[in-house]
Amino acid sequence: MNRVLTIARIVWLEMIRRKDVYVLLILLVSMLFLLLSLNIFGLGGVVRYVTDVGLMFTWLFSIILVVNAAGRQLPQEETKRTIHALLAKPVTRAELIAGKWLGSWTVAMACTAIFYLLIVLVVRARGGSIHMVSFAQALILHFAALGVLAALAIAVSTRLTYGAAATVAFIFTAGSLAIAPRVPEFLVHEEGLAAAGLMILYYAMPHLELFDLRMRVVHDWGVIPAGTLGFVLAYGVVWVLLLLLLAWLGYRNKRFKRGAAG
Amino acid sequence: MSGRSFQREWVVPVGAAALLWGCAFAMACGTEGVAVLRGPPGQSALDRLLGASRVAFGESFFIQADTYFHKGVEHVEEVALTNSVFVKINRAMKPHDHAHAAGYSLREILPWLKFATRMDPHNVVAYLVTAHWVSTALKRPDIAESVLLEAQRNNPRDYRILNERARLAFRAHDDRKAARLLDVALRVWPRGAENDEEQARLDRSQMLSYRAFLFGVEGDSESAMRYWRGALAMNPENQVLARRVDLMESGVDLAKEDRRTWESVFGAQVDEHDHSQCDHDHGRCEHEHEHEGGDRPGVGSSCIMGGKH
Repeated sequence: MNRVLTIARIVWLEMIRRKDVYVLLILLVSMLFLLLSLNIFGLGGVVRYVTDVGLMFTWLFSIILVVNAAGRQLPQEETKRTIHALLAKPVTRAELIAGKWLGSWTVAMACTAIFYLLIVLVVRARGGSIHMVSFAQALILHFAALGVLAALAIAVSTRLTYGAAATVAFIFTAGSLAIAPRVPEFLVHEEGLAAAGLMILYYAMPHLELFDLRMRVVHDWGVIPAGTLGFVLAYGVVWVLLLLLLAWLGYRNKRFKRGAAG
Repeated sequence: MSGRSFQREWVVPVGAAALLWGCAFAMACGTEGVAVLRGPPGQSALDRLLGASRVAFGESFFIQADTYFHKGVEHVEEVALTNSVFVKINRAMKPHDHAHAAGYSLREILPWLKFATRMDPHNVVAYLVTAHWVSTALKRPDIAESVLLEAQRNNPRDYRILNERARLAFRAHDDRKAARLLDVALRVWPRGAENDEEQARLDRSQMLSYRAFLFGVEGDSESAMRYWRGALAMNPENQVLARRVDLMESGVDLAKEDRRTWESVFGAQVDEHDHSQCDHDHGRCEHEHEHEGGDRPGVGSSCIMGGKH
């Protein structure tokens, strides 16, 4: 466990040194101030759209951050040839994968928490209010989604370069968020092979929309039942374990060429 | 580094920069004021950046306003899977009750309506909806008027905007302004549209009814009669209109009653119906409309657009 935590800590140090987080934070702040500066017919107290757009960009930026952070880890070690030194120490490939995942995920969680805090401050400054319990539930589920995405990016990066891994992960994420939830609508007009294909997609892809509570928070629909929250979190844990298992299976027998760029 | 070598190092780049600047200066002096960046009149920076996709953006913002009006619940499409575990969890987690925003919370739809009109200044429906909710729910007819004036600047020959401004004038009890606006609206109403568009036909019937009413209030019975007949011709199914025309043709003087109505009904500005919890299907608004203008015309059937009573 210590080795996993050590690897995670190294990921943290690297992310602090890189500019990704700061750039995304500045972008979010700029976006929020742009929204706040809009004059809505001189009427005050209109903040729901700020919360909505703020949360939308938080999701977007956190997805970019976690996929890039996680997808970069293993290919970077191979490119810099530090993988040989790393695995020469008594660090198993499973520990390496777990440590990289934990580091990427916790960094993304920390940044997301900062984004959420920023939104709360902006909304409060504007005179609005947010139901904090449902906001906390939304944050927890967002963390779970980031865990799944980090595991996904790690899994594809075991066999692909950083660029390819990030691309595949983004496409998979877009499909999970945009297509999988709408398969029940598409099935109304499809039959035969197309319908079968859609059903496979529907059950094979992770349903990331389950982790998205933005509408509930923005429109003040209150908290979700604890049982439902627990079920969705368990669903996220299952996907994380499955993807990390796939990552380990893809990595455990991989040979690294000395002197070749990854 | 010695002074001489320092000078030699900088001579070439500085010289090249000076030469280039000189060329640019000479070219600038030689050109006339050619507006390279200025496009045809009416083309803004957004037009050049987004092109026709502005319309799509505008429409999506309008849909978002409708979603906000329904408190985050999107329109439900027909689905093939209803008992999948994911569908069930989604129903537990996402809002799905049919409810409308009301009162103070209605102002939350305004940013999206504003974005819709910014993106697509020719989306007249978005302007009308904005003006309607601002004037009725938020009790700000001044803002509604400014919204409609902006709509008119961007869509100068659209009768719907003039009609809506006339309604505002009605509520403000300004009969002269209402009459003037209705006259212009009737002039710019597209001839022949009654054959293709039911809504346009109903709109004309409503405008003629309102104008006829104002003639009646003024005491000009002949003009009132002419306009009431015109309204009935546009909307022959309207029994209230038909009854009115029959009464007037049989010699009944409705001028006093019209004046009383003008004082009492059109002075009222409160929407009595509570839209915060609707328990019926809002595919079409089903509330009864007793006034003689017929069904609430102008902006279609979905709830965000048909809330005026």
